Amino acid sequence: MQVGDRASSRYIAVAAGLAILVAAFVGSEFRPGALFGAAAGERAGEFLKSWWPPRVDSLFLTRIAKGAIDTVAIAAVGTFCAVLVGLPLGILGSRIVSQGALFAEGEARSHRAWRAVYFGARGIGAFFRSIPELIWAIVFVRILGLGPAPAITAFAIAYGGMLGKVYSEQLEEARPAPVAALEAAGAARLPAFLWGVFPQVAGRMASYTAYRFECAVRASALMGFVGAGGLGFAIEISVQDYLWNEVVTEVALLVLVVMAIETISDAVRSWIE
Amino acid sequence: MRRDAAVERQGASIEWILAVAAAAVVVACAVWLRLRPGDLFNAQTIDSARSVVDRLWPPRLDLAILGKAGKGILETLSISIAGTFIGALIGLLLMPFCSQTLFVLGSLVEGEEGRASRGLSWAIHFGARLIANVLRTVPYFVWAILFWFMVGLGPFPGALAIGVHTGGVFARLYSTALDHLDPRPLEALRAAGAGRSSVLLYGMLPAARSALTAYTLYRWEVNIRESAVLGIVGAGGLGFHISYSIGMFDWGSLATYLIAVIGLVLAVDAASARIRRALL
Amino acid sequence: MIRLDGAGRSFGRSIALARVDLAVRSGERVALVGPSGAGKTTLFRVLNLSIRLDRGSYALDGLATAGVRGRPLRAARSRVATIHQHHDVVGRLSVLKNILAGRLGRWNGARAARIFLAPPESLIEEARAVADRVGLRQKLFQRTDRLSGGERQRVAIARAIFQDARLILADEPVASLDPSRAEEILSLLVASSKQDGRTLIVSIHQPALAKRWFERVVGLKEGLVAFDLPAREVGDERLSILFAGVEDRDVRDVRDARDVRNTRDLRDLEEHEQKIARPACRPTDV
Repeated sequence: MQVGDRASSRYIAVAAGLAILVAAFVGSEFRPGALFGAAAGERAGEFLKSWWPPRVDSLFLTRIAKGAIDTVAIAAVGTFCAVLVGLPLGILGSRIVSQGALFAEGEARSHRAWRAVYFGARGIGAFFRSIPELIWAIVFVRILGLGPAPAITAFAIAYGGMLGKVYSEQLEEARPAPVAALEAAGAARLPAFLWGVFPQVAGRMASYTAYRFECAVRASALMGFVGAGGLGFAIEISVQDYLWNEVVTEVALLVLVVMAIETISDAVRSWIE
Repeated sequence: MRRDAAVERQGASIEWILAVAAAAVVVACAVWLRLRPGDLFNAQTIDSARSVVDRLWPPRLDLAILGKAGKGILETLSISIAGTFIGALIGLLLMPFCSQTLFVLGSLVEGEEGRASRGLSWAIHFGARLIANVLRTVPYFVWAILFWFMVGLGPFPGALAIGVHTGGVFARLYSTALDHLDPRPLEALRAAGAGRSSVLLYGMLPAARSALTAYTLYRWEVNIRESAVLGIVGAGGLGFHISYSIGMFDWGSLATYLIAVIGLVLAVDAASARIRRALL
Repeated sequence: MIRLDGAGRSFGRSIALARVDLAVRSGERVALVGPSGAGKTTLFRVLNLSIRLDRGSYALDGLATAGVRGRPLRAARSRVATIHQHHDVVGRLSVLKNILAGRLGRWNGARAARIFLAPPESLIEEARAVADRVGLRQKLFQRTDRLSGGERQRVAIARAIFQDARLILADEPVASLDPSRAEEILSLLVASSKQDGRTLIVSIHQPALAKRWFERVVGLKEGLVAFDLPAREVGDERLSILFAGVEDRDVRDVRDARDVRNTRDLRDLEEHEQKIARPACRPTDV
């Protein structure tokens, strides 16, 4: 009986999954014919032909190299601002400070005010990170005008929310016993945090931040499409003018930059951890 | 004695060097971008920010906008599910060839084959990794534009773009999951005469199943955000409505769509966590 | 120095300290013996003001500790140094910083932050002198989690010495050491007490060691003081009563301990179990 129930509920789950999948393909107007039909092949062929030869004159290369540096620079400053937003959100949004989770009995205060701070920090973080960074960017382009400022603000908010969440999880993973030992020796809450909690998790926090920087480089390229400058902006212009031989070079450069950043960040992360 | 201490102290100061280097990079980048904090918080930007916030509330909730938002939610959700599924198929296809354990490293391949077939293994492995890397590092926006030219506008090129990009990501994630498995049972299978495909099917897949599921669900959470954004380059869904309403300065409907995005993202995160708990 | 009158403490249903009367004069060296689960660790946590009493009173240096909180509580805590059973040093910090952390109770937030970022040379010298006493001079700038277990314990001792407290508590400092290392650690503790005139209370599993190194031995059983005598008067029959039925008792301890969700050691254990059970589910290498 038991087994039969389980098997039938399994069938139901599989059937539901399949139904959702079919609905998703219908909903996204899936037409494999359009992809593999003769017309599509012809169009793709012509399209591919228009890529060759890629544009590689030095004037163009200098321009897009500058764009690439812009893209990386926006990501770097954006990630830094995100850390500035994420650190307070993470610290206040972890149970450690706001609810004294790590602290010895005599000092545990779970005040209403601290609880409000805790839930406030969590709520703000959830709001910040559940709107994708690109949507933040197009909103801020309207407010701050074109250029790097809206992209950096978008990173500060969207990635600040993400970093806040991960930081608070990492802080809560710190071993409580060493912190309690410091408190037993008379340390106040903030010094015990700085000397006891922070050193335990700083490496992991830095490592996750490096990973977020990687993501920021990718996203920063996309922000160029909505007016934040950099390599994405160059791609957008070339696409609008149908200059596919430029797009090829630009995308190749972007791939190179992303791979280089990944390699560096991998090296730094394995070094820290 | 003093010198010893200085040498030992270097261990601790590596962290300092890294921190200072990171700070220097950030400052250099800010200088390169000619950023001035004054630009961010001058009277004009604060003014326009205030007027935007004023006009965002209340969100427009008439039936026309709600209908568009509902259709946008369904489209975005469809793109993310179809894209994740396509990505999983591509990832599963590339996974065995991207796995180091199966193709280039370790006791599974050691001394079992002649030089020629080993060279072939390397070639297949690196070919597959190159494909996966290209799929992964070319941004999904670029893929979307490419498919847009091939099959026209709408959610379909969006789903394809997400699928192709995610396929590259999955190829890497899945194959790392295989490579991190405990090698001993696999070696036992190999010793018992199992071929590569049997090792994959009977040794690796059962052991890595939960990791693969977790990665797939995790990536679905990322893809819902990417699908919401894709509309900006014409792939339909919520992103299209958002960029359209911003273009029209229609802040009331923008607020409605933003709420829809937040709700959708939070719902997908919750659903993914539920499914993960049920399956693992 | 310290005075406990009718001290009692329970965790949920299990009684950790039933009723303890104990007075220790300044400069005295006392060994606390008893089977595991007798309440030694709880007694130490009461003495260093990590937890409060349910019943009875505790006076430290003439200060009644009931109801003391905030700054005065931290000041009182900074007068008691504890060497915890599992050392509880911060692994990621250097030996130097772990030693310096002993004085955190005396620094305000800004000072603690400044010293964390750049410890002044004078403090480094002081810490070096303490490290010298415990034989860690060469390791001052190494990360503590790169040291062996025995070295980490000496870091904990150095931190307690550096704290410059009137009272030093050591919870089972020789529990998992071979005999020669145990003698070494005890001589280190006793020497530091003699040299600086500090009161020392050490809990010990092995009665022989307690009798050899301390002038006063207190036997604790089931949360009560079983005997409190000069070391030479502690006979074998008292000890055998103290440790009678230890096997049964240990089994019950484990069960009791499972009920006590409050205790910090147990929370560590749970965390550890969770860590083992939890798969690495956050893929950060996409």
